Amino acid sequence: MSFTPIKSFVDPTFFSELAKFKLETAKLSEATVDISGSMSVPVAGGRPAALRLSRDSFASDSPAVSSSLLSFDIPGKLTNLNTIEGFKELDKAGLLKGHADELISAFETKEIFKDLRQLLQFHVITFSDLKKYKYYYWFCFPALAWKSRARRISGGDVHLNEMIAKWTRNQSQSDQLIFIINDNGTELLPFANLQFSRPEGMLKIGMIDFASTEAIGYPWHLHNLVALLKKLGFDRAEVYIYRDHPSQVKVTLSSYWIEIGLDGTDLSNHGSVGWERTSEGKLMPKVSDLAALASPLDLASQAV
Amino acid sequence: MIRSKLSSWREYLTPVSHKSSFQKTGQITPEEFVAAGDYLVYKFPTWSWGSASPSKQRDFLPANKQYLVTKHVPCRQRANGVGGGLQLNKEFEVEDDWMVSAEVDSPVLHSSDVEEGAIGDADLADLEEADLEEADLEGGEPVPTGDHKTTSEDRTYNVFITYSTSYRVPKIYLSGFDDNGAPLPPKLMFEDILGDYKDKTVTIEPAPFLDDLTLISIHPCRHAGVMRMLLDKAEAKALTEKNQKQDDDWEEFPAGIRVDQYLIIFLKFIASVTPTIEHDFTMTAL
Repeated sequence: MSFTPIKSFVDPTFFSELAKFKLETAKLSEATVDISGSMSVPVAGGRPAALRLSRDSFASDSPAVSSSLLSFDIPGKLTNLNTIEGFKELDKAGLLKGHADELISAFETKEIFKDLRQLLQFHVITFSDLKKYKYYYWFCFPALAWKSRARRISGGDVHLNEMIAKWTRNQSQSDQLIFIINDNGTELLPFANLQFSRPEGMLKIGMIDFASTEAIGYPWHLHNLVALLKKLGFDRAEVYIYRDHPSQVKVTLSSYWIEIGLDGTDLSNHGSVGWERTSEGKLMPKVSDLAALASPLDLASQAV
Repeated sequence: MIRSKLSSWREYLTPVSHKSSFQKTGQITPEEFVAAGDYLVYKFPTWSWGSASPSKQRDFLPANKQYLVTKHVPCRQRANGVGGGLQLNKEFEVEDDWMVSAEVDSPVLHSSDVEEGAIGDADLADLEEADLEEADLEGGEPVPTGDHKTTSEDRTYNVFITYSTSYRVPKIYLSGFDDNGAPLPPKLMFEDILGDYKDKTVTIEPAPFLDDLTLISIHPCRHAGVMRMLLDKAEAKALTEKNQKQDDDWEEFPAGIRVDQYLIIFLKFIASVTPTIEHDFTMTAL
């Protein structure tokens, strides 16, 4: 079973806001703060889900209901380090494990039902070299790793796609992300209902995949969803992976049903994954040199 | 810098015309820009309208329709790697004279003037933590991007369209990202503009609709002339086809090209300037 990792995109406006945040708010503090990102489906086929950060990531009031999958708000954390040494020495394995433990505990306390987007959170660590307009950053998409079986059982269902498209226009983002599909596939229900009642037959749930059509791997947040299902005591489930696309073509072909078997899954000794790899597949941070975009002096010297 | 300021004052001072003249001049009014934008968004939901920062609102456009944007469209290779790239010329048989060959009254950047400023990957290698994660318990290492292979050539672009009051045409702005999703410096973005234009009509400008965002832009001084020609050609083509297909149920172009189709033709023109930026999902519309 393989998953398609999320790919981060950072707008230049995020970095200018980060510089402001560092100078005016955080100053010497390296405390972790809440931010948000916007998840979107790439327009071109075969691409991973894209998490986009911009100036808006720092805004405290993120819109509660989004009308389209083109921008879906995801909660996240930011830790800005003061020095490159601090950035280097930060215990990244520990940070990831911390998030994994938090997730498990949110499963146990049922806190997770308050906002299912916690299954899809991110944490970005940054170091800003403000003199040189150089920003080092590394994203982590915490995911619980487990052993289980999954197989594809059938392809997309036009009727279901239409129902889900309608659902995503009317529900809160938490409910849009993951939901229950009733036995005969005629109704969608909030996932949080599982706290109070269980289906008589096989559990059928639907989830949104932000990867574009034709991508092969499973959605990254299926990692955490499967762990949650196991924690809730399910040994089997059918999951409908729903894919929308901004141009509204190929949706039917690209959504699909899978069956997962959790009987052999043991969460007591779970692992965790999530640090973003570079395009070369390396586990290392990314760097952005914005001198040419951000410095007024540079701009002046380039304007002939 | 001074010229850039001048040009933004000019943009500010030029009176907005509301008189339609697109068929004669290739220029459009703000109302026509909105109509054409609505049509583009309707036909191609990869495009959407955006709102400007409060200080940058332009009152002749609706607050929620200040500019058009499509995000992260792929750009898989550099423009100079494409032979010719001017398929448009062939298709519409446009004369050569729409390329800017004279001076342009705005800060114009010559790619040769830009200093090489390598992104310091040297110290980055230091930061690699290859053994940070054990392989995913399921199925080994995560596949990088599904079936899509990423290469260092693989960029994406945010493409913005605004309305230029000084030239009464749409204006294109680009914001590029490298294969890692980090912003591209202008000098690298220039690689995605076809050689003939790169040296003459591409400028680095602060975004007129958002704070703290610097973009590259294709200067619109000759857009109107090009658009007039393209509209003529497209109209002639549509009329010929209409005559040929008189028996068919042909309702697409009752009287030539409508102004709400303006941006679709405009994007075909822009595609000839940035041939490898795949924002043109409009091939089926006309």
